[in-house]
Amino acid sequence: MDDVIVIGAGPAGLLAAYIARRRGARVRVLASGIGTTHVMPGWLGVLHTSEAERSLPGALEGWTATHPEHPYALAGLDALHQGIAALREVCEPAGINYVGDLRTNLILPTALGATIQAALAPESFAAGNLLTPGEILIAGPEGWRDFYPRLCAENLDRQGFSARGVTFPMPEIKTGRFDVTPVGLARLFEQPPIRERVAGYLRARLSGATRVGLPAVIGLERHAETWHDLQDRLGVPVFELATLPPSVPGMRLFNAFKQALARGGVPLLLDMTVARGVVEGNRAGGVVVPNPSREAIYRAGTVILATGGLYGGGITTDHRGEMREAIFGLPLNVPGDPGDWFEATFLSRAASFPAGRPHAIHLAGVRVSASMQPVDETGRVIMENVRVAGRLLAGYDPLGEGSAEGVWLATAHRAAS
Amino acid sequence: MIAGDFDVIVIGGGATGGGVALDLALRGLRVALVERGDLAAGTSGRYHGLLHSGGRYAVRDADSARECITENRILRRIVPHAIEDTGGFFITTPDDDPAYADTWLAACRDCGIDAAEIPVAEALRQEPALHPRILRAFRVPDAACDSFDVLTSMGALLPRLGGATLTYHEVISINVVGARVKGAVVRNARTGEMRAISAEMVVNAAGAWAGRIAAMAGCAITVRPSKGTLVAMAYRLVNTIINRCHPPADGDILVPVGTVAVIGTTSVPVSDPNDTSTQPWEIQRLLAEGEKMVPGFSEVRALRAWAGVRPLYEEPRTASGQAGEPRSVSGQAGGGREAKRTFAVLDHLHRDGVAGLVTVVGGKFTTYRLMAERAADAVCAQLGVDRACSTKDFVLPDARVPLSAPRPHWLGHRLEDVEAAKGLDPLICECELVTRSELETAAREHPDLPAPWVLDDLRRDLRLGMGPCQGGFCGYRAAGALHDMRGLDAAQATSAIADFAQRRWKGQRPLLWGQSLRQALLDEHIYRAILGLDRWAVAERKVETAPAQGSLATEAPA
Repeated sequence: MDDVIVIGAGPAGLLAAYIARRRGARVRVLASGIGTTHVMPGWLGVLHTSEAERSLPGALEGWTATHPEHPYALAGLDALHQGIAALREVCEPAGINYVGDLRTNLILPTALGATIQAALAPESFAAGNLLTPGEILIAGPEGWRDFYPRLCAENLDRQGFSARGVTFPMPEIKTGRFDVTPVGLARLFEQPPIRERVAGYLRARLSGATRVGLPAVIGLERHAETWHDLQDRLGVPVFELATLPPSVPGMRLFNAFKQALARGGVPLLLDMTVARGVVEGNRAGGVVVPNPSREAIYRAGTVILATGGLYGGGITTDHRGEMREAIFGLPLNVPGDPGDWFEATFLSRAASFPAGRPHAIHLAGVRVSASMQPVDETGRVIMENVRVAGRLLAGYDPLGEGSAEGVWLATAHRAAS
Repeated sequence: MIAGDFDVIVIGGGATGGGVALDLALRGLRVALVERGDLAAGTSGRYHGLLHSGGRYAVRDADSARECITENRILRRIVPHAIEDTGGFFITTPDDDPAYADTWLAACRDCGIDAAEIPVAEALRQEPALHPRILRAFRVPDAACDSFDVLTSMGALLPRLGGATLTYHEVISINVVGARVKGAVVRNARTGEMRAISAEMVVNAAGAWAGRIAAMAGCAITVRPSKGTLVAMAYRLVNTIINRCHPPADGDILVPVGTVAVIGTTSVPVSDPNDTSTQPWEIQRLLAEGEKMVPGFSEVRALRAWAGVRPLYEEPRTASGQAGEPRSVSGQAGGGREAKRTFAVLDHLHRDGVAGLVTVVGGKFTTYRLMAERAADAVCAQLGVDRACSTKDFVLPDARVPLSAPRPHWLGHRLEDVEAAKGLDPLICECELVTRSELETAAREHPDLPAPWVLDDLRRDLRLGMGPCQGGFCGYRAAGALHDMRGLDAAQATSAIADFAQRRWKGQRPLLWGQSLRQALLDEHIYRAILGLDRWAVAERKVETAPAQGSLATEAPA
């Protein structure tokens, strides 16, 4: 029997497992597979700030005061800061260092040349901060389907951020029988001769650019040395831009978690799909993992549910419009009838943040107490030894608020403490 | 620049209008085909893809049934590249009246439809997904027909026959001088530019919109739009077209189309032919009816829902049927199921005293060629042109990109081609195996690359974005590749992604549960969290000159 079983190997589950272990618990992670690390952009969004309130602490205080049911308000802003501190501990040994002062957001360019606010970003993203002046050269491998530097640069340029786009030859991606993914490119960048060739090509085309943006493929396992070396060879700061999935920065983060958990002796068991929980009165007795010969029951003093939301699989839906929490069948905050879940217009409403309305379905999830225990509609705790972290939680809109990473940072810490 | 200068303007770029334009061009006339959206963007592109054997109409509407089987045989000859000879079954499920099958079989015989009963075991061997307790099964000469491929070929051929294909040109008015039609004024949907086109004759082949066009020339005709909703399931559940052997009803046809299977339809009277909304009850009914043919149907991932609007025609009693018998629909209660599905050609000179205008309305995709022939005959009669129709024997040249697309559609074929290609041609759309060079080839043929709807047009050419991800990955890639071709600037490329995302969204939204819901959330994550497209969607809307949603039918089946 473990002290803590974490269900889910997304960022919330992995961070909660790390924090619980650090506090001395015997921890096990059960997951059906890898989680949303592999689709995350790489930076850490906490909350969008407005032109009027650029201060991130001010915006957070204001937000929690006006949204008492929001995970930030329930977990407390202290949990957010402690979650970030824990993440730094996980990442630093892997060579991932986050920059950002948590006072104002960084403004980072996207692959489309739009801008995104983020509280923190890996240092390989930092030189892209558009609050820092300086001409930008956006570069990508010629003919690669997942990144279009000229489109990115032209969009940045028409917003007043001086930028040019250029492609560089990368014959290696054309020799195989398969398209090269961001992971394949990251491995190519780990080869010094390829780096030298790319750097030489781009050096000759800097013509005044003070920084170079590349798709986020600058090394995977040997990211830190790859990035530093490329930067040295180019002679100007190099920054990464998030790509279409799979996300190389997200995989670096996953690997950092894996190493940290391994150091702590925490088993991370993938392909272990929990079919259901064992309910004993108002407690979880354990969880059931079916296998071909028998059903295995894993017991623990505390179960941390980090199974994700509707995307991650923590909540399932069917054609009858039924929404169900996958493990314990916990009551869900369901926003109206299925016909109300999504707006007719795909993108417009959320763009008018903070005044706009998101697709109502983003607010779906499990409602919890301040200790992240699931509660019923009256607010009564229904399972004392269950804690919920991450996207399974109700009451927040990660895309509209820009809070996707901040909520797992804060609630993983709160759930594990 | 279009000087006055055509013998005939054909209004409506669906199968009927395309067919009329081609028929007249083959008779030596100079024809302009005018369409407010893309070719096949209206009803023709929103059907289930079934080339009818006529069996569906044999019992109640023998005229339609005979037209169907005759045209079915002709179309197999003249548009072979657009047809996959899947064959069809009529099946009596446990939910159907077993006695109907005998009535139906006799009616098929009377109409000349080759329907043959086969043992249930044989039907199940051929289509193992069918309900195991079906009572009877019949083989009929149904086929799957891709209307996009038909219209693409027509649109490409017309200029080579001295005509013009004007897509995204909406007819604003018809020029009538005295009691004679002299041409039409059209508006470029992107630029707003107006043009007057003069012609000796105008053919109104606007389908469900035909009443509005006729009214522009002062002629009153009553078209009753009847909306039909369809759903594409993510897998090719059957390889044979499946029809229920019972009186026509909702959700009783299942058609394998490319990599998916399409179930249809409902039949709902609507007042506005632009109403292509899909209602939750329609989706639920289609899934429930699908269960009766293929058990487990509603558990399968549903990919996309859309609706097309049938042009049911009703001739007023006072007018004598100059061009065929009066047609009638039964009113609201039957939702159009009792309406005859034959067609009418209205010569407005005889009917309304307006020279130079012919309307062709009603019918269905399978009989488009016959409708076109009759309409073209009426045009030639007014013009005094004495050339016979040749469309029965004229084989339409294949104008698809890529030209090698095989039938039957099997993704493995395409994979082999892609893998065998020398040097890597990147896959822009992984679901439908669309490569970058195919995209570039199609883009070079596109008449107006900067148009915000360019990706949706290319979708109809290539199946771009029609697979499970519904554009989440390929929208950005395709826009980036087009931008690299220098045919459009970054603002236009960005608008194109947003436009494509919204059009795909319309068909996904009614089906968001299970895996489709997860996919939609991933797509939203890509567009917003990774690309930041929502920030642009707001900024671009202010400068976009695209027509308002709903005024332009460009939504079409997956």
